Amino acid sequence: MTTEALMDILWILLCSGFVFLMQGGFLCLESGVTRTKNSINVAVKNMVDFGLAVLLYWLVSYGIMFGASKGGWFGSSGWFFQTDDSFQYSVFIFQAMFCATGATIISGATAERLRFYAYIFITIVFSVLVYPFVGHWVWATNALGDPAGWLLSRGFMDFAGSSVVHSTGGWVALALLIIIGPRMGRFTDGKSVEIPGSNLPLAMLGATLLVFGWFGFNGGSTLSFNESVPLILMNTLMGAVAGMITVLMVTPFQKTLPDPGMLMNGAIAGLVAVTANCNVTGPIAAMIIGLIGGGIMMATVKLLEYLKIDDAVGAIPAHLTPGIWGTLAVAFFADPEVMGVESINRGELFTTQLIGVVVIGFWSFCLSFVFFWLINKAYPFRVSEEEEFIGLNVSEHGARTETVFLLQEMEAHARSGDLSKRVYVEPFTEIGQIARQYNKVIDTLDLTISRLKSIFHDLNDGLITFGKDGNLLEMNAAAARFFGLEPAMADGMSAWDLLVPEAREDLEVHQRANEEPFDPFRTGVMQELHYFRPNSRKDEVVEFVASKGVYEEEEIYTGLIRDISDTVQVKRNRSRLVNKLFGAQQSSFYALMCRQSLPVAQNLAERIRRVAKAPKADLSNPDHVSNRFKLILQDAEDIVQVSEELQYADEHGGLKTTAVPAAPYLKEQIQDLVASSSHAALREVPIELDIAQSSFQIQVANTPFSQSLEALLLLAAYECPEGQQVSVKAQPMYLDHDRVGTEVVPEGEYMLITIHDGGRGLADGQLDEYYSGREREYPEIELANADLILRSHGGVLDVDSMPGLGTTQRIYLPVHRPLEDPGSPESGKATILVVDDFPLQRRQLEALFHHAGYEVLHCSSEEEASRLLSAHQVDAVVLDLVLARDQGPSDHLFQYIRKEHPALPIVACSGETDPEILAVVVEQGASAYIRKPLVYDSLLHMVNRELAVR
Amino acid sequence: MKRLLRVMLFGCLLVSQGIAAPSSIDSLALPKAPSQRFGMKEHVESDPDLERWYYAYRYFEQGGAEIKHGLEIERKRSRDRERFDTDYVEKRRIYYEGKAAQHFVESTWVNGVLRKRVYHIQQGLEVVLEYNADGALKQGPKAHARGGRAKRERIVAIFHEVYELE
Repeated sequence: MTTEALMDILWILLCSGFVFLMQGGFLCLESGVTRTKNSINVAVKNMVDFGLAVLLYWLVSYGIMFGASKGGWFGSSGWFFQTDDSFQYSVFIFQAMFCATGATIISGATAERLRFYAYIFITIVFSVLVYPFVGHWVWATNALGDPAGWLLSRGFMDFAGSSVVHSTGGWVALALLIIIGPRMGRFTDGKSVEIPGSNLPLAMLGATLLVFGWFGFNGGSTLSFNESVPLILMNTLMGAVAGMITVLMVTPFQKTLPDPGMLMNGAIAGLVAVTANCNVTGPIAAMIIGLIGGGIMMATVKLLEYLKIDDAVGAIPAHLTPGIWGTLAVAFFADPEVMGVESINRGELFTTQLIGVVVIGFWSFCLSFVFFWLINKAYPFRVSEEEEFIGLNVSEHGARTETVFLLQEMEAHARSGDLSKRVYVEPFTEIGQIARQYNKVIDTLDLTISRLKSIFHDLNDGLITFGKDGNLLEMNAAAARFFGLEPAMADGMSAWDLLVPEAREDLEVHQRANEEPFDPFRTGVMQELHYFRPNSRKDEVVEFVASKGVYEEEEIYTGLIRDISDTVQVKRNRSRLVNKLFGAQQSSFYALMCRQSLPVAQNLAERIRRVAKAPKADLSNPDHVSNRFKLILQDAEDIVQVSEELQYADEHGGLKTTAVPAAPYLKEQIQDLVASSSHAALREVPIELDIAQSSFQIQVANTPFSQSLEALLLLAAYECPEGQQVSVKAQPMYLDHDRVGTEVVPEGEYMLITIHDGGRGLADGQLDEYYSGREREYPEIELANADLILRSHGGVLDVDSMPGLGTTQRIYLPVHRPLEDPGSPESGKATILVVDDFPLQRRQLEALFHHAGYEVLHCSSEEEASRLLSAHQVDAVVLDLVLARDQGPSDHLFQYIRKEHPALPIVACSGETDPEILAVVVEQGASAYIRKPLVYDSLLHMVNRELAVR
Repeated sequence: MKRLLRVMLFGCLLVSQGIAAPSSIDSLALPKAPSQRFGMKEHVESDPDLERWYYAYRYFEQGGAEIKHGLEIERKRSRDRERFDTDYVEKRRIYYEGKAAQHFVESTWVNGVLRKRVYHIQQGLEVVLEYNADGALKQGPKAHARGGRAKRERIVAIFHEVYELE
């Protein structure tokens, strides 16, 4: 064998290797641009079609393609190919790679929805019926190298297979895509939806391998290593570059970002376009052909989207239409010099090329369409929707990747709804990290749901959920309690039966006649339901508010049931009081003020009149005039003051007050009232005055308050029997409900003014009508106004009377706390240790004491408390007796502190008090005890007091 | 599917012409170099006045007779005597122990330039290569059939080796 012959063999085998590498390129490209769930299927198909195509090619297809020609239509020899010619073996290997490449084009286009065995069948049909026939028409030569195929004999030129390989594969793919349809979700509501690839860098690697392999694809098609090879490789390179450049040039005009898939397919389209003509053109022509090929690829993409044809990897835009273009381009760009001919009849050549394109298209598309359409009717090529959804890796190959395994676990988790379960964490994998994060999310969700459940069940208000059919889904304990049911009884009960029971004897529901009928589905509206319990003869009012939510397309209603019986009662009472005080008496308050200013005004007018009518002699005396004007000025100032107070009251809804020291003010006021009262009874009755010294301040509107006080003193003076005296006491006090036992006056610090008349007293019935009764008796005393004015001061007038023992009027005037509380220690002087297991409570107490100027330490357990006590100088302890909710009150820490720090003041507090513990705490010297919920002012007051004592 | 495959195979076999691939050049009776022999001699005649102005052959003697074996070259002028060595037709044939091969090569020279060469393989089967006045190979569009050139080049290469052509 000559050296040249050996070189030819070497070149062909080398190029065969290049073309085989394209198989790997297609595998990477197709796997990369498809989704992970189908990547294994895509890869397997690429492997299998190669093996199958080569086998079939060896069996029959090589014979059909290159066997002795029967009229130029098909070969008829060379089955089970074998030869004594080593060159022929190398040619066979090279040609077999081409067949596999053609089959792979179909694989990419139809990816992600085709049954694996259907694809095997398609590969068989392509490799045996479609490709070798076309190949024979275009490439078959006789033994001397003269044309044998009918198209080749007519002068049809397709050097390396733009039509034979790429268009043929594209036509078959198109027929299949029409038959099997687009992937799920690819076209939604008439719009194209991009399905992202799983690994674009891998796809890019695949495209690079394809470009590399194409040098063998075109370069080896000479089937000899001769001087034309470099030009062919040069043209191949130009085609690849040009196709990609087209995409880069067009992208800015489309106002989109560069699409990696388009760039890859641009390069491939350029390669396909030059494949038919790279042996008969120059580099410039190859560049132009490649550029146009890239443009045709982009146009084809748009056309397919318009036609709703889903090509998963863009095989048709990259192979079919650029292949057609490349074949036709031979007629336009073939160079006579390169071809070694004197001239080219381009018109004739174009006709020939066109005929070839049409015939090849007709054969490939029609044959495969009819064939596959019929088979598809009997044995559907496409996987089911469910299989497509879970991915072909699982459905077609049973592959269990970590991703699929995790998805399956998550799916099972979602179905079970068991939040205590966790998914398996595959160690040292990305999927494992995702699983770990998923578990963390479930942890948080579990915690949140538990809290919500806890809120749902522990809520004092009733909560129910029900579906749009009205059937209850859940009911919390409060709702169950209210309706006298068990929470589990919600199952199967309707919201109507629960809320508007018709057949229950123990619970009757009343609907007000003028109200809209109750409807649990009326959302966002507060509806009142009135219940009556015949057994206890108790009326109850419930407020129901429904809200609607949609969960997984199912409407869920939530109903909040709030027992507002007490609120309604309070509202009624308050309404009555307001009507009484601010409805009927507000006008009398203003009338009082007017009446008060009227005599002053009349007096003023009289004084002015006198001045006006005074003899001139009087006016000539400056002292006399000055005295008169002083009186006028005094009256005018009084009127101005009253007017200002009226205006202030009108604008602010209350009296204009000023802060005054309680003890001296009260003493002075009472003494002045007694001395200068216009009522003789008040001036004559002996009054015992006992004003306790204190530094407290009160806020008063001077004139109205004096008038109120005068009215009450006058009443006492009237009631006081002869020989007796009216006792007036004033003292500061802290009103604690637990100690005093009254609900009339709110808890707090007051200056208490007690006026006791020592008279006849009032019977119970008269006390109820205290104001109206006394006003009738003493019309000059405006008691109701006095009460109104005291309330305007934030005070309360409480009356206590016993027949024969006299009547005691108590005026509770709130102590005024200036911003700088002189009773609080300065910052840093005292340290309070707050021991409470409830974080919110700790924060609130910390803020309270911190604001009051104390240093604050806080902790939640006995251990921490003892540690803090050892490490810090603590001046007082606020100790919650219940440090562990499930254990109840405990005196461990209390006893520890008493033992280790006997002088340390302890303010004990507790929500649920065990009497025994409390007794121990009190006996062993708790400085103070306060019950939860805490009234912070009281607590602060206690602490201030204890520290002051200390 | 199996049935379909069987039918296809049957159809292929029905129209087939055998296992070997006749479109391959190994199906052709291409020339082979004659066997090596000792005592080979060469006969050369050269007379520019004659139409067959050059004639040479190789032979060995056996029983006093010349037995042709190997290359035979015959050159006949195609124009006048003055241009006997620039315008002529050369025919080369191979003898195998006195028996002429069915294949031969006929070359036509014009103005000292090879313009045509016919590689005759057997009756009705020959490769014809034509060259222009500059000696460059002339090719038609059909000459670009994929692999056709390679096939021709391989045939020609074998002829060149056996027939000692340049």
